[in-house]
Amino acid sequence: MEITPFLILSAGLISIGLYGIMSKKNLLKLLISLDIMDVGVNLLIVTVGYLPGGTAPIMDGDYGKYVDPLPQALVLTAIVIGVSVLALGMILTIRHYRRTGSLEMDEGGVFGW
Amino acid sequence: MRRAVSALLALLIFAYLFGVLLKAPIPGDYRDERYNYYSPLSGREANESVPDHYVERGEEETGSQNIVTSIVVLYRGFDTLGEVTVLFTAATGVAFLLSTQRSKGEKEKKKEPNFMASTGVGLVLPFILLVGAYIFVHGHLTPGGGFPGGAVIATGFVLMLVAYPRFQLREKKVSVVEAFSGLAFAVIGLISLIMGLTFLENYLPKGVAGTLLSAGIIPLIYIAIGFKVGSELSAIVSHMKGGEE
Amino acid sequence: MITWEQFQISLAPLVVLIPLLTAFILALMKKWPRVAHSIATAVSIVVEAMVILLFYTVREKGTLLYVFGQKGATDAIPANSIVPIRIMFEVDAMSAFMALTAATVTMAASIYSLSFIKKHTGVEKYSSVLMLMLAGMLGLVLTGDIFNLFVFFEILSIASCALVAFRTERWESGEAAFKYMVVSTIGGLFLLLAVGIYYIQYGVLNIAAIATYISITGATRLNLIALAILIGVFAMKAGGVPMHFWTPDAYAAAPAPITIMLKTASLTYLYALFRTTFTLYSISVDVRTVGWIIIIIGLLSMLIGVTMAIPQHDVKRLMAYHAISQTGYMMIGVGVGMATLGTAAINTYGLKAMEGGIFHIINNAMYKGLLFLTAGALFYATGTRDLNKMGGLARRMPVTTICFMIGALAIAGIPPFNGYASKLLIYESVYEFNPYLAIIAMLVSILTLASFVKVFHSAFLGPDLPEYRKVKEVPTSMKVGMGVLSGIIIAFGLVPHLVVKYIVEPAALALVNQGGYISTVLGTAPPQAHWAVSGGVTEGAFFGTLLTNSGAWNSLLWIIVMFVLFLVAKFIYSLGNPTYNKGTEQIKPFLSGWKESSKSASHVRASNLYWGFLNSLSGYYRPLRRGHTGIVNDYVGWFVLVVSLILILLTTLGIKGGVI
Repeated sequence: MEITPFLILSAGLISIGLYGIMSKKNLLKLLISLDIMDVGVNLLIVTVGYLPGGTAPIMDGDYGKYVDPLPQALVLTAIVIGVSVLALGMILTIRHYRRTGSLEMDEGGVFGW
Repeated sequence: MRRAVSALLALLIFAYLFGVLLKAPIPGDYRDERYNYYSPLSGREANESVPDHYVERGEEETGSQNIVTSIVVLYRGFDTLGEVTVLFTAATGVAFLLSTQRSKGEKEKKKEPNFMASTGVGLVLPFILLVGAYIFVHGHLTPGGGFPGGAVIATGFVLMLVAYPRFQLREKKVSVVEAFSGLAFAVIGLISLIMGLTFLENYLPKGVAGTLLSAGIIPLIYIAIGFKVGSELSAIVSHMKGGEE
Repeated sequence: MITWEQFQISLAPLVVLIPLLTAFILALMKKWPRVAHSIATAVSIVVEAMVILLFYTVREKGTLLYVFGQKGATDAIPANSIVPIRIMFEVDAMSAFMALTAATVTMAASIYSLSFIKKHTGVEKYSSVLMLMLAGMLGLVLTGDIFNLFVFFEILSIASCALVAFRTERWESGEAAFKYMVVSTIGGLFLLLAVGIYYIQYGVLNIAAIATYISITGATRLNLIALAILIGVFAMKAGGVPMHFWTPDAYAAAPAPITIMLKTASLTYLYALFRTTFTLYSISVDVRTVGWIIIIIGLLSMLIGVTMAIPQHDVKRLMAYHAISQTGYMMIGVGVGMATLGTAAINTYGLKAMEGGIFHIINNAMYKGLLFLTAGALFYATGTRDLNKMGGLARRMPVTTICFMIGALAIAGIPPFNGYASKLLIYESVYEFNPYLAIIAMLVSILTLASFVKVFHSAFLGPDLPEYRKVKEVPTSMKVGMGVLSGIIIAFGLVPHLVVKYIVEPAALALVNQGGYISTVLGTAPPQAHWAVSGGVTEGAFFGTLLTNSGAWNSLLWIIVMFVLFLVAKFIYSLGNPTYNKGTEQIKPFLSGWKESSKSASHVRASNLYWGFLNSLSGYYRPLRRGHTGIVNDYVGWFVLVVSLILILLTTLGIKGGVI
């Protein structure tokens, strides 16, 4: 199995996520773009560990070639960290919504200058 | 204006990343000689790389069949402790950020539970919890481990919150479970420190690989992590819903 | 059970584990919030003691190594393998120095919070997350594994974000926390991308191992991308312009003790920046280019930070812009050191510039911490942060006034405080590298003094305003917290030569010593990695003299001379005519014949103070004002732009033997 389509996919996800973060004003859309970029980076790391012809690294029988287990461990940690960040972001969005009644961010205001 | 500029930037970054990754020297084998620069420098024998070491020696050094588990808990266990801490920080943050704001004027739509939803969830919930527990207890034998197991358990609780609008999690008990399981993880590691070994070193017998009671401290740690993640995620979702009245 | 030797070796993980455990326990103590916070304060004092012991151990025994999960904790590579397969903590003098800074500031913040947060709910969770911030900072500086760095980076970001939003009754804290969270997460994701880039090429995650591989394969395109990402991410989190927009928002919205923790967290990210450029890349890329990139970021930070600070009327926003500008000083000092690496100039002024920059790190943590704590004290007493509303508080809050004066004089670089010593080192060494840098640095110093004169006048001096008649001095724990930091400032100012010799110089030498760092883990190192440097700041013959390249500074002598001059002035004053009567025409101010309406009306408010200056520079301020939009999408956009710019610079000029 070729890994090139996955590399393209992860580069695409990272770019789409970046575009979303740099241009969306709706708080929920910002958080979703952050999540998309997170998925893209994790996908890149897991893809790199693939060995053509390898199976999952579980040793209940000798299969010859195994896939690289280290990126999978890294991504396990990174996904959980992404979930925590998303949880905190959602809480702040909920507070914003309860205060103002809308999901758009305030433009400027007290901040900026 | 902002959209155009950011779209242009994102497109440029995509093209650049794509070009770089296509030509990147991704090795097709971890026994690739690129990984073995140490031989000339340190003059030692054994031509192997880091992933090679995990795959070849992992089972005999740690006693668990699942190599990813042995990496996550033993070889790189400190990262797992950090990750558990991140989740704990987020849960604590959620707890105090929402605790002072009640939904003023937002009427709690206390309708009757939907018949299909409540029956379905009532049937499926025990199995969900069972599958979750199975996943984290067998972390050293099958794929999975503490984190997916805990997430499945939390899914069970979230389904309960959705199907039964009047169901509420007891915040106090959940936070006690959460804190104790986190403490259990850290204390298991500290015991090894006090015993004169380094932090998070395996001090229980390794047993026969492939059986349930093997792999030293791995099943204990994964059980602690499973409880912790399950309770934390459920607590986060329950806080978002509105918490205890 | 455990010998003293074993305890010394395990100090590195213990200083991270003890706050972590405490945090888990504290979150349970909902019924006893005051007890919870006292436990947190006690733990921070214990950690401070352990960190001092750790620093002493590192000085005595050299770089410490602790491998997790392996028999023979100091054996990086297991007996049957040739690569490091576990996580390890590698503590050299620079890491121990940063740990010292972090632990000291946390201790002060924790003592201060005893009364500051008293009236709030959720105090036990506050102390728990404070302990987590401490654990995150210490883990970040002590680790020797790049994925572990990412994990601690995220711990610190999320803990800081949760604490910025702590004041739930004010709406601005939630907004500031959201922006801070988006910015930190983007930084974390890019950092993960850099970790992935290293893994793609080399398959290891240990910093020393990656450094060795980079030195062998050289500066490939992927390595340059990783370098650009790392410089961009760490400079952004440290508050470097033009990615600094989140700093004033987050620092102003957080409660005062959290602001000083945030400031120290920014300093640890600065440490990570230096660690990356010096230890990973110093023999593979053209150090002049990388050094100049850091110098330019530092220059922009200094200038834009201080000029944005002058028109502010929110006292914490003003101080936050000053934090950005002071970070510029550190970047310039260490950037000059980097740019001269490998040439003969490192021995004449390069190492001295680095020592100035590193000394400035700990000085900055102390005096900026003190200033933010005094701003917190002002908020506690008056309930507002707006300088336009304050006045005449010096009569009611004498301790706070003295602490503020100490902090303001230190940040402006006035002798005999510690700010002067480190700024002197930076000026004199940077001057020999490029005179314009030193001139701009001095100009920024003058503007810093100007803005703090503004704060001092509008908050502390002036007539007794009616609305502040009931204001009292701040409670004892806040005084103790501020007192600890003032004491350290004065002590460092009196004996800078001791501090430089025993604390700063080992740190600077350890930072440059890439070969030593690598060989501690792997046994050997690439031969070019051993830079031969010498020529640090030396001591003069007379006790307490610092000798720089072009001059000498002795603070004790300065104090004696000033005291003598003070006596002379007093003597001349006493020869005058002492007819000064209160309550007569003698003390009424002259307002061109007008009657003085009321005392409070004659107080010049903060926004009016530098009106002429701001007006004449309005051409400069207009585009600056438009650039600071306050919208988080722009914050991220600037970050991506800067990383791309750095990448373009590196690929064209950064290869060894390149154009410059």
